[in-house]
Amino acid sequence: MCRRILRSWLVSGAFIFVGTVASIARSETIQFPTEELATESVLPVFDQPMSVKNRVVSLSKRIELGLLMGYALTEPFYNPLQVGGTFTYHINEDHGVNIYGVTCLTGLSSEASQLNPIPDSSPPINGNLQYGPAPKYLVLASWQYSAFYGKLSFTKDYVMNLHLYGLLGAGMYGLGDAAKPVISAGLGQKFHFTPSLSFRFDIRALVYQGPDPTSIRLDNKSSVQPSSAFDQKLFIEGLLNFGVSYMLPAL
Amino acid sequence: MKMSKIKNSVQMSLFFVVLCSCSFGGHAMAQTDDVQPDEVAPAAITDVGASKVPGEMDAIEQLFVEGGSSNSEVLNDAPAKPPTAQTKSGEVEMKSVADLANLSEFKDIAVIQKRFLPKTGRFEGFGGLNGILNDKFFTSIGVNVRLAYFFNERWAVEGIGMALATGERTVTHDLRERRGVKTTNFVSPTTYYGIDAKWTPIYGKMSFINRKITPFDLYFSAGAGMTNTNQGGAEPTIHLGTGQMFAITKSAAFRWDFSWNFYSAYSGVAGARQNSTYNNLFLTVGASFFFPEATYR
Repeated sequence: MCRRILRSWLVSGAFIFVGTVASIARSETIQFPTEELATESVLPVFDQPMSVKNRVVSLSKRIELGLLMGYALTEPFYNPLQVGGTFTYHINEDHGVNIYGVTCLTGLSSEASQLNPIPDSSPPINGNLQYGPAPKYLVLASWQYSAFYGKLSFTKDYVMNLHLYGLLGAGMYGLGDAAKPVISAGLGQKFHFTPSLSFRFDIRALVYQGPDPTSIRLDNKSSVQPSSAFDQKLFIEGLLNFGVSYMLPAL
Repeated sequence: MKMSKIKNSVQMSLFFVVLCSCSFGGHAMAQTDDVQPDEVAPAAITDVGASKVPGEMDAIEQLFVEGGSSNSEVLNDAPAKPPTAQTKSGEVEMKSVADLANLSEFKDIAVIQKRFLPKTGRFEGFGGLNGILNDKFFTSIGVNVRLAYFFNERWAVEGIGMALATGERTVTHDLRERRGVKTTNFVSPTTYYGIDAKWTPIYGKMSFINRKITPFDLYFSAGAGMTNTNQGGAEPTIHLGTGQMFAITKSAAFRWDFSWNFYSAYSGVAGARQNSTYNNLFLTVGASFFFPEATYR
């Protein structure tokens, strides 16, 4: 009986010891200075990192067809609207060849229309810019560099992929009865609704040597004048394009 | 009598131990309660579904719903596979390894990650160069300064000021010198100041030649202001804009903006005093700086 009592006291003492130690341990709090705590996750550094794997929108070896509407931003005398299409072959994910062709809508701009007659002219004189070398078509072949690929979320509800690309090319600009060489550079973005269908817009700068409609008198003319009748001048124009495009499966 | 003493001593010891354990456990609970939702590590939180208890919302789902400092992101860019079969109750009874094929995907998956460039409660100072893209008769280039305050990640108010230096395009010179068209009444803006509401619903990431990832925000803005023209008028103006901010650091970003100013002013192509509407398309590029520094922990 005495041994049992001793054993029970021994067990009780062990519990009390454990409880006391636990109580002491509880009171220890380790404090770290805030500035020593990590604020960023650290990623491993790779020699050749690959940011995106398994792209939703893959471009490599795909043909892209598009319809577009263009607006000549700095066209002073003629209708600035254009309609046309694009054909793009993507050699790989980054590089491609873009063929761009538009036809220009006919007519004068609102400013040129106000020059028939020229205000304050006495006797009234018509500017007659409709007899000048109006733009007819524009064809460009460009290298397309799709350097940026990404995705975005719209209010966290909808995820869409996009490409941002640069364009550098050359082509021909139909002005009146002449075709003038033109070089162009531009930037554009594509927003992909599906892996094949996208909304596309780009802005291009055009540089070309063309006929100057103001270089000769037109008020005494009654028909469209040949381009060779005008002085040639260097033009830098801006072109804004919007459209949709569809990509065919990879070849 | 002795037996009762033994029982009492054992009960007292057990009570003490239980008391200590409760105290220890209570301390641990208190530490857990101190962790705020926004202190949860942003990375590596995946496959979190909504709580099955009616009316209960777990912490991650709450983060997703509140949306203050987090965004959803799909880590793998590959298209999602079609969902697998699921029972009416939404539960699949697992009896063997082969039943794994019958598992369905989570219907509510949110991968939570903080935005790289936090904006809530911060100011954005912007400075850049701008120009008018669609002015057919003048070349206008100027400076553009803006100051915005973000109420949250999506909404901000922004003040805009711009000043433009204007020069004649060659066509304007030729019209005057060769065709005798008076060009003094061509309207061109010289300054604009106004205020916008700025909405940033789109957040994304772009990889540069698959080597470097750049986070960006895409915003829309609308507001009003006053345009001072070279004709001496101050014209009420409607301003609409859109643009992108590409984050460089957590306090700096490259930003481009495409703005449309619409106003009515007195002029004519060649001296006819008439009221006409004008559209100016501005392209602005520059740098944004965000302050004060955001709190990340």
